[in-house]
Amino acid sequence: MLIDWFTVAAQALNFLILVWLMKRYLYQPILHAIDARERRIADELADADKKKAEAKQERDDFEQKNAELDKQRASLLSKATEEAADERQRLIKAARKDADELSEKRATALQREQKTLHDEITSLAKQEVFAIARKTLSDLAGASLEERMSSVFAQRMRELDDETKSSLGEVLSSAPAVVRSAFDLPAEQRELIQKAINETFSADIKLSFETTPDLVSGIELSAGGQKVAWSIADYLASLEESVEELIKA
Amino acid sequence: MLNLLTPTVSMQPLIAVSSSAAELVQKIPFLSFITNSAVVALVVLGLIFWFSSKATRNMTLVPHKAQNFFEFIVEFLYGQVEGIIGAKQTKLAFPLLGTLFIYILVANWFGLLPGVGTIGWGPGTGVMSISEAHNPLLRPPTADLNATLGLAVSAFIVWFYLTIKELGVWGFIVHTFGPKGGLKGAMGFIVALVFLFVGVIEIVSILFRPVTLSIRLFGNIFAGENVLHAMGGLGGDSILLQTALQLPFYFMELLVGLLQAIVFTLLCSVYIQLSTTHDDHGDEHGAH
Repeated sequence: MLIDWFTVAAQALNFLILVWLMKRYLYQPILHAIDARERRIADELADADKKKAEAKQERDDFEQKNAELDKQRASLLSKATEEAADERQRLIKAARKDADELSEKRATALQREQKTLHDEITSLAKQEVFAIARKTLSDLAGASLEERMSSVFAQRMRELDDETKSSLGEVLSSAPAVVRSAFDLPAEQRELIQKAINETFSADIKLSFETTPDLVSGIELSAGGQKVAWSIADYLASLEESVEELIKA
Repeated sequence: MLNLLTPTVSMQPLIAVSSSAAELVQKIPFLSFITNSAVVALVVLGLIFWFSSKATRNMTLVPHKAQNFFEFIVEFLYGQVEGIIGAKQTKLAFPLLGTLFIYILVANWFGLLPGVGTIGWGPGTGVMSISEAHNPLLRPPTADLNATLGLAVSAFIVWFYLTIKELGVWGFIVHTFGPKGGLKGAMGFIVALVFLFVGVIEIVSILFRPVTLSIRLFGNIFAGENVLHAMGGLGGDSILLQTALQLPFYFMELLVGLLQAIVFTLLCSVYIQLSTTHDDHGDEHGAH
């Protein structure tokens, strides 16, 4: 084995040069970089801790403010709830009052409408009844009935009370008298009526005879604004007045 | 036949591997240090320096790949060394110890590259073909006792510098020869004589450290090359068989290369730690 001390020295020098190069170009830059990075990390950690503390403080402040806001909100909510309840009661009362008034008005209107309807129905029914009656009686009326009516009229004239007879007599003596009938009266009937009037008023009263179909059936004596009638139309008018008064009552 | 894997052993001057150049070397003796291992040592130096400077050329806060790799290596080594010799001595000794580890590791593994130790001059078997490279063109410096001795001497010089810097010349003498235990009187005199004798032994031990360090490293790597050579020889003329037989030992040599780098660096660290530790810090000094 050959040991060449010159080679040994050269190898040692070679190695020591490498040590110097490594120290100069590797270890120092890298160790400095690592130190710088560690310092930076330490600074950033310290900064992070500081920011964390600030954040914690801000969070505490925020939580405190939040709690206060919650308290205020609860208070406002409670107050608003009470006010809303009061307003609700007030509105319910007002609505109930309005509803009662409307209900009352409606009942009144219904009542009025009912009455109006009832009146209209009654009036219509009355008109229809009388129209039917008038039509029926008109259809049933005839000369024979007229003759009978004339006889009855003559008899009624004779049976007049004194007061009526007296007032009517005065009128008949001063104004022309007209006898109206629904059908033309035959001569016999006219004589019968003339005779009955003359006998009743003990005077010769001049009568004129007219035919008026509106009478339906019957005889009517009028003079100087006074009238003595016995006819179905007169009956019906009288009945209609009575029914009208009854309905109004 | 050109044998690519089988290493050979030779410490002949590189220029002397050619018979025609041998005469020139004899005439110019100072060129004799340019051996095949010295060339590889320069190549290893250049490679390490090139990679290191590349890693630290454009350093950034967020490290790039090369920077990150060397930061990992340096930080790891620094931590290990600091754990042994302490923060104060690490600042001074780390360049030596870190470079020892990196240099020895790269040199050991460089020797396992195909062609290193297997291409050269030897008994010819044909055109461009030899049976065995007796004078290889390249060989790892750690398989050269001159190189390992150079490393050990360098470490010894730095160790001595750090020790004297820390303890001073008188402090080193007291540290080595001084009696410990604080005994007085006749017993103190006897103990002083014993410690003087122990100090002499310690000096011998210290002087032998470069020898043990260099021979240990050289022996392991040299033996590894021989094992690979022997395994290759068992394969006969079959390249496949040679490779198959060498492959397990190839990986073992990778491990040995790493282990020897660790051992060399660790022992240097321990030597520095033992000699730079003051007496009032423990009784473990007597361990060496």
